[in-house]
Amino acid sequence: MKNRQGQCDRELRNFACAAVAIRRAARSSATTAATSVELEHLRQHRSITCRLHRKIKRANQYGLPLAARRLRLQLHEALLSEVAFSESGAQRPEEPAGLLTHSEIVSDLRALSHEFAEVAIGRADTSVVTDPVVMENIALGRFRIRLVSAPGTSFTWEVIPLDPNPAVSNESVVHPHVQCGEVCCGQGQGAIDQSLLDGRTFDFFMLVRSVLMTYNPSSAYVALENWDRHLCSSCDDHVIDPLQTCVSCGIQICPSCHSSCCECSDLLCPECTFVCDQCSNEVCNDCKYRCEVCDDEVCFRCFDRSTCDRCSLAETDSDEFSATEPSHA
Amino acid sequence: MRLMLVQNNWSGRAELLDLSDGMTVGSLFAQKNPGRQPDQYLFRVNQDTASADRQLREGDRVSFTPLHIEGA
Repeated sequence: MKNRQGQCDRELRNFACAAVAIRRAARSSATTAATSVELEHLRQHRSITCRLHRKIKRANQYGLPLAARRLRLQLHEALLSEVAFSESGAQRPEEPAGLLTHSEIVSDLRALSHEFAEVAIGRADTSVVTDPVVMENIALGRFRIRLVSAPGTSFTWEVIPLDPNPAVSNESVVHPHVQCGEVCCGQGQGAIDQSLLDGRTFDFFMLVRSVLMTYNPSSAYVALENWDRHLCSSCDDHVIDPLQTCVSCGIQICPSCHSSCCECSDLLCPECTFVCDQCSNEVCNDCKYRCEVCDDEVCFRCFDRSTCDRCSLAETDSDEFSATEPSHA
Repeated sequence: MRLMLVQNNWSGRAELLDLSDGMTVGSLFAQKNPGRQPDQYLFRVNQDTASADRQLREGDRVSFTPLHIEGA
C-alpha cells in the first residue's frame, strides 16, 4: 500500500514538473519565436545540428578523429549560439490567450495514455510511441515522438524510428516525410507550432501522429513506390536491380547505365566511359591512348607505340612511296 | 455563451466565440468547417475526448484535431 502511494506521489510530481517545464518552454517559445521568421531560424538550426551529427558519425565510422573533433566543436558552437539566440530574444509579453494553465497541461499529459500505448513523462522530456505505421503495404514500424522542454530553451522535438525500415536509396529516410529525425509537417506545421506555443502537449503529439499516419505522394522524401528500389546516380531512376559501382569514380549505377572497358573489363559509368575514335570500342581512362599526330583518343588495339593505327599506316604508305620513286640523276 | 475554440486543421490559434445556448460540438464543427467530414477529426472539450452530440457550456475549451495531415 505504501509503495503504491509512493508511486502515485512520484507520478504526480513528475506530471507537475513536466507541466512546469512545458509551460515555461511554451512562454519562452512565444517570446523568442513570435514571428514565423524566428520559427524558420529554429527549424534551420535543427537542420544544421542534424547535419553536423551525421558528419560526426561518418567521421567516427571512417576513423577520422581530428575531423570528428573539429565537427564536435562546430556542433557545440551551433548549440551555444542557439541558446544565446533564445535568451537574447527573451521578453515578457502578455501570455497568449490559448496558453494552458499548469493543471490543464497535467490533464493533457494524462490524456496521452488514452491515445498512445506507450507514454513516458520526464521532468523535461515527454515522449510517446505510435502504433506501427503501415502505408501501401510497407511496414515502417513504430515511431517515438519526443518533446524536450529543457530549462532556458524553447521546445525541441524529434521522431525516432523504433523498428526502422528506411528507403533502400536513402537510409536516413525512415518514413516518406521523415528524414534524419525531422518531420516535414507540410499542412500541419502551423498548427504544430501553435500547439507548442500554447503548451497544448496532447494536441502536439496528436498532430505529429496525424502526419506520420498520412502519406502525401506528391511531396515525399522518397515515394513509397520507390521504397524498395535503388537510386541510380547516373540516370536518377529508381530500379529494382541491385546497383554496381563504377571502378573509376565510385558512383552507384544501374544495369542500364553501366558498360565495361574492352581492355581491362572494369565496370564503368557513362561519364567514365570513353569511346575509341576509330573502332568505337568502350574503354576506361587508363586504357585509352592519345595519338600524337592526329590527337584522336583510341583504344590499345588501335594504338601503335605513339600514334594511332590510321596515322601509323599513313606514315608507312608515305615511306614506301618515297622508296619506290625513281631517282632523278 | 462564450467559449474558446482551437482548430488544429488551420493555424491552431485559439479564438474566443460567442455562441447561442444549446449548441453541440457537432453543430459548432459543421458551422466552422462546412463540407468537412467530422469522423476525420478528434473532438475534445476541456481536455477530454467528446462526442459530436455533447452540449457546450459557458467557458468550455473546444478543439478539433484532424486525424490525417499531409506532410511535405
